[in-house]
Amino acid sequence: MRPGLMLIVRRSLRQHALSTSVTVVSVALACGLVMAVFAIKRQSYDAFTGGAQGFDAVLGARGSQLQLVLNAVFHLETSPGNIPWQLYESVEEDPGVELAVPYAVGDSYEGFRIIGTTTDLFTRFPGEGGLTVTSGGRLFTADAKEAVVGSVVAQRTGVRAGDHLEPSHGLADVEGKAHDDEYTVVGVLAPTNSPLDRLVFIPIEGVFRMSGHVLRGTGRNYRPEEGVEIPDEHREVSAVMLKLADPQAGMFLDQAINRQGTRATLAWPIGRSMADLFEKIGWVNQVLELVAYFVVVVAAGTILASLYNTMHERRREFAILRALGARRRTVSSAIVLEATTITALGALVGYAVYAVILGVAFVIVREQTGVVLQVFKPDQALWLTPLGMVVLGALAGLLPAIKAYRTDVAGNLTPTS
Amino acid sequence: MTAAAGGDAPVLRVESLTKAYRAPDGEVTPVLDIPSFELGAGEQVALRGASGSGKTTLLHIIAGILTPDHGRVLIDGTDITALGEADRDALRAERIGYVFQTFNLLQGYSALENVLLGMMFGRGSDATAAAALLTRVGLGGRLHYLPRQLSVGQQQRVAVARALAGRPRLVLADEPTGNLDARHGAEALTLIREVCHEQGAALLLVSHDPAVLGQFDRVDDLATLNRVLSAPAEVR
Repeated sequence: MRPGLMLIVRRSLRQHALSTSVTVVSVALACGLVMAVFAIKRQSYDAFTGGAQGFDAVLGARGSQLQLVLNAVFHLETSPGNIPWQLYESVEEDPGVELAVPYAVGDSYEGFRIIGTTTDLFTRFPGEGGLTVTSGGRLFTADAKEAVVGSVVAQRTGVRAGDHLEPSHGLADVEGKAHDDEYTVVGVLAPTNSPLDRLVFIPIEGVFRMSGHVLRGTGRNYRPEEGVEIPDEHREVSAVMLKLADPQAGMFLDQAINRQGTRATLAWPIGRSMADLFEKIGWVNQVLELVAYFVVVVAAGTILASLYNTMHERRREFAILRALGARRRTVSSAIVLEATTITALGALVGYAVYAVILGVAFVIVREQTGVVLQVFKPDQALWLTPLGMVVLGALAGLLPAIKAYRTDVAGNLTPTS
Repeated sequence: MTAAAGGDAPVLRVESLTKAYRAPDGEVTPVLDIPSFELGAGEQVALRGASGSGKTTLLHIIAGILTPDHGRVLIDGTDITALGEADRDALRAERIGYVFQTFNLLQGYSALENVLLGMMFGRGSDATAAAALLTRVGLGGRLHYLPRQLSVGQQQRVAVARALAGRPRLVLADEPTGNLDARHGAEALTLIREVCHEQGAALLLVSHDPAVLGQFDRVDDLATLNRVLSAPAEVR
């Protein structure tokens, strides 16, 4: 690099501070947007296809695997329906199944979903880090009206061990649809950064016996009575979370339940259903990418236009520099370097834009699903985008640089007014 | 370009130089026709020339900013008309300092940075030397002032310091006092002459001001030197 080039660039940036800042901001927005679109795409894909909390498969009512996964794993959709208790028992006894945890859903507390399940979920939880109750709490007892709440539920509603809560019927908190049952909170779960944080867990027996619930395990309505054991044929579950011994077990169950069976659906592997979903909504991402690229083109245009506009007023400056012995190439390189510097500054500020966008996405996704995006996870978009932008910025500087290159020295050494 | 750089070889030698301007409509206007002109090392010469006498064009050709139509210009024995543009730029950066009537300071740069710009395309920047030069011209306390924060007299002193910053062999001054009042003009002229003398640079100054011309031992008249001006049909 010619000596003094950086001085020329710095002084020019200072002299045109306003257009420099506008250009830097537009580059920052473009850079931040592109990085965010790609990072959010990749991270949400990773989070949603890998976020099965250690389970391999979900067994549920005959129907859509995706609905089953969304409901049982991410607690987003409505339940596709119930399956008989015997089905749960038969998969639990299957030698290829390491762990089967039944879920009975349909109620909520202050907008948070209630899951009726067994203590197996906690004591044998296959996910990383386990599922533990914070100190001072304990797990519910299978036949008691006791509840364990997720960390977000505790934080938002303020319930603590010892408090009471009344379940509402349905998934939304609708006035007047409260059950007449009262549960005692006995424990709060340690945060898992997963949808589990937004759930209330009660014994599955509690869901069966919830006032107003009817069981249709046999196809006929059955109302459980106080103190009378519910016969197995009347019991039903919404879904069964499965941890399999090996992939062969998955293939075998897939064959038996999905292809030969007619009563139930097995979603296996869980990540594949979500991957299918991402494939289906891939066009949304393509639209976002297109918008981001468009902003990049506009930013590159801004660099070109703002530099090109100053070339006329800077003719005398270039002529003086040439008179001091600067070569044509030195003057035009200074312009390309100026464009590159503006872009590099913009790319740096772009990281702030990226952080803000991802921060907002992080909050929204966690709010809506409980899934936690890895905001600071390195992504190749985080260095490819600024790199590409800087190259584009340098290219945008070429046209103004050619104009500077062509500046006539003798004709511009005197004031032009 | 080191040939004939000996002590008594001329710093500047102009031979059979002609230059004409071609208007877009094809009309050719002769500007310069100088058979011979010479300037010895360290010599100070004033060239009397009214505006329109081709004086600025002559200085531009000597500086290598413009090229003549015919003839040779030797700086320290190097014929710059035989050089390419980049080599002429390099030679100008290393050997020639230029003082303009309009100062031509760069407005976005401090006094010190303007002087540094006079160095960096040639032998390279030397902030200490630049500051010393500014101190020499009486601006030691104004190093970081922008041109607009300086008086016109001070601005011309910065321009003088910049012209000499690259330790040139030859300083070209084009009406250097033209934008100054009598007192500041006289001060600037004395300064240019003193500093050129101290640095061992030859000085070629063009002016039409009798007060300026009267200071020089050798005064050449462009009207006699330039044969274009002696032909009545080509009065411009």
